Amino acid sequence: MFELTLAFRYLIPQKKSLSTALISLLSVVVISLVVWLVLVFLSVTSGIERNWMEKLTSLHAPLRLTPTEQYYNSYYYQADALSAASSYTLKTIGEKANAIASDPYSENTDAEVPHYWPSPDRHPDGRLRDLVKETFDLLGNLKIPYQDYEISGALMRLSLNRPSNSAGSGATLSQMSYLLSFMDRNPRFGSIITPPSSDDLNALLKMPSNDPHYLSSILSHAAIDEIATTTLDPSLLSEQSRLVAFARPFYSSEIAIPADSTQTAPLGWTLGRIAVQGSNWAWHGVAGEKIEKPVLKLEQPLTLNVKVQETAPEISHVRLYAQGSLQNQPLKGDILWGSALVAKARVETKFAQMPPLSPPWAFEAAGRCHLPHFSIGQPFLLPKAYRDMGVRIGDGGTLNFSAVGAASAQEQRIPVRVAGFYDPGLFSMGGRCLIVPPSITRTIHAASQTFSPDGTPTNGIGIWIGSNDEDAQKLKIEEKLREANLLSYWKVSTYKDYEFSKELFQQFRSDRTLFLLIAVLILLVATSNIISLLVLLVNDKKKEIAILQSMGASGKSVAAIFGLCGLTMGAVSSIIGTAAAIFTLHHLDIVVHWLSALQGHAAFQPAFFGQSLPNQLSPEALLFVLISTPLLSLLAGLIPALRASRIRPSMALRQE
Amino acid sequence: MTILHAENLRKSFFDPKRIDVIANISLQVRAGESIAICGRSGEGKTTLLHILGLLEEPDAGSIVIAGQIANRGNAYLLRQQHIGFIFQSFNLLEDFSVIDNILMPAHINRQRVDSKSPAYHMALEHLQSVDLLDRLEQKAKLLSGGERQRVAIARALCNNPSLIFADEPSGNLDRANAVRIGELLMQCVQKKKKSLILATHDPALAALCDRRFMLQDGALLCYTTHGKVF
Repeated sequence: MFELTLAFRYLIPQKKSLSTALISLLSVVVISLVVWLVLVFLSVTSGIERNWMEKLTSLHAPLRLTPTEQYYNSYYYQADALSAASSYTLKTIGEKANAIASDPYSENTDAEVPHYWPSPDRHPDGRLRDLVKETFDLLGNLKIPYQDYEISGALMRLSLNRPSNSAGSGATLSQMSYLLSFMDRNPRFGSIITPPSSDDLNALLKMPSNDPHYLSSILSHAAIDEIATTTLDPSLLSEQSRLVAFARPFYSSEIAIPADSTQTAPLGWTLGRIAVQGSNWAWHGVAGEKIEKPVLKLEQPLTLNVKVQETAPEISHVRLYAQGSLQNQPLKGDILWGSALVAKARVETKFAQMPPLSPPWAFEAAGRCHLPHFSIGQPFLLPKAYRDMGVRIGDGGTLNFSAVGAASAQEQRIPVRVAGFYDPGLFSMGGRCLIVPPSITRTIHAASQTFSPDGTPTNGIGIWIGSNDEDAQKLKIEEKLREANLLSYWKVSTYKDYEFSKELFQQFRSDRTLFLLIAVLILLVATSNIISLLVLLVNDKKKEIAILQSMGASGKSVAAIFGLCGLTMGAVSSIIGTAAAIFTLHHLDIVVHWLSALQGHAAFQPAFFGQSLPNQLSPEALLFVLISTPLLSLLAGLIPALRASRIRPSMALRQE
Repeated sequence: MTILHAENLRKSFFDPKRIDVIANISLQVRAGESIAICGRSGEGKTTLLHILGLLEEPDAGSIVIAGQIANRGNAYLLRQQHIGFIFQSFNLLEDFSVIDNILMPAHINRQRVDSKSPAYHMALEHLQSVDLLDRLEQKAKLLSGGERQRVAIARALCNNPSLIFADEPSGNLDRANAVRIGELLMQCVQKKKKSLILATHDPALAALCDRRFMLQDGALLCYTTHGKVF
């Protein structure tokens, strides 16, 4: 195709047309920059949106079935209130799924069914249709994970028992909270559980337990790397070490070791050194004083690298191999844990298989999340903000709710224990939503009126779909329910319809549309450079165009040459911009770091954007850029191309 | 057989007074025939050639080339298939090599132009006949005037057209080169049995043609072999 050959020829800079070459280079650079900007921005924002969606739907399933009014009015649901077999109590979906009989009502023992109730939905053979079990069967056949959930409320009271020197000692935390039943089938839940911190480990290690394997259940899943201690075990010292230490030889046998050997002794204290000889150690003052085998207190906590050598029934007897340095002198040796605290540890929360000894914190094993088992109190999860209030894993307390009895309203308490923290993301009531075992929500549900804190239906079925085709899956499930005559009892909704996320996702969508509009405008401005370049080129090549026409090139061919020039520039810019965007996204941390340094504060607040910005190239953004840029460039090339096609060969050939 | 049939061609320019450059010219050219159009500078020889070669539209009149009535829609196709142009100022594509210049009409005609294609072999043949085979890959801008015009002749023959238009082919050349180009052109045309329409003010070159015309005041006057106009 000679048009393409000529277009390439014209675009390659020639010595005599330096201005054209410069403008063409400038256009390519500008368009590449815009492509780069659009790609990076769209990729990061769509990544953020995806992260938020994942966070929002990691607590709730991305797809949800909730009972309709017709379900609640049905004989199937209401019959429990009349039946002695159900203790005259309405059942939740979970209870219905576990109930032995679909129809608990007995004509012989129970009161008469009111005449205004809708007639029971029965099978042709007369059996009552079990709406929940049939729905569960239907979902089971679709081979997608599902689980029923319940939401209720209770007053949480947590006692924060700590050694007197740490924050929140002896304090009690009371908070009216929402309870969401723990869904172990939620495949995304593991991603929002935050691993226990060293503070959590310290609290767990101090927690009394009657389980003989309790300590090993912690130490086998948490590799302790560093401990902080305030006393120095003399076995860490060698005979060569001469640590500077202060003492008051005539008042007490107390020794204080400063972190720095150049420190001067405080008033009333005497300078000296600690010397080790065999298994004995002593403090020698500058004036010849001596204290034998003193307790070595450190002025500042010392961090030691450790390795657990041998466990024991009690943490203080755990044997460690420790290494470190003090006053630039090496320390090493076997020591006992004593009263040290964990400073750094690697905690496992994900296991390929169920570990034989499960840890006392929430964990993921074989793709499912598990709550630990405590000897006292039921395990539950708190939003991570509670960590800042001083709550630690292992803290115990109660969930209080009032149960209306025959004569009075009684306060009931369920003992609970913190099993971990989760990241609630942007979930509107995330700050006050506790994840509790379904048995707790069922107990409270049965005892009290339930309430819906943010409009989320309090009882329903969560469905986890793997890919992003939630709308297609919704239609598919609706179709299946319709086929089974169950659709009138259930409402299917996706996370885009959820009460707490609907507005957020609408906002995302309008933000995106707005940016796309702006992006198109910037691209338009950038590609308009091509117009001026090509007009220049057409003027420059007028005679050549006429020569080509004299050889039989049609107006269309001439137009195509310049249209292709525009298209080529757009395509080349897209490729350069895309390559630059991929490179930038790959090194996004450096860019963010640089931006933060430039501004003097964090460029992207982790509270909104997470610990690191998403750096995956968004396929939609790429598609947008790869289609719109060459298209706009082609459009920009059309104006000069039409001009070129209208050149009259006779006139151009006469101009010498 | 008539290859070109022009009838009642008119063309006027307004600059700002109306000048009838071509006033009612009719012309028939037979296949293999060579025609010289002589005339003074500014008489409209180039305009007539451009109109006949479909590079410019006449104000009135019709042109039939190879049995097809020329119009705006098929002009480029007729140029592609039936017409070759040789200009006074050579009009080569300066940044292209000699062979690329010669192959350009074939390229435009969507023919294969790689080194194994028939068009390429034909181009080599033409280059040999204009004695430029050794300048195959040289850029056109590095050639001398005579060499350029020889490339232009080879280019005009590339698509094997039935009609060659030559507009003062020796106008920009020195005497020796002019004679050589004139001879070469006539030789090529006669060897390949092409029709030639030649605009020139060089009587010696015109004398080589079968028929000669004089363009004067917009009219084409016939020249006899005795040099008399009537």
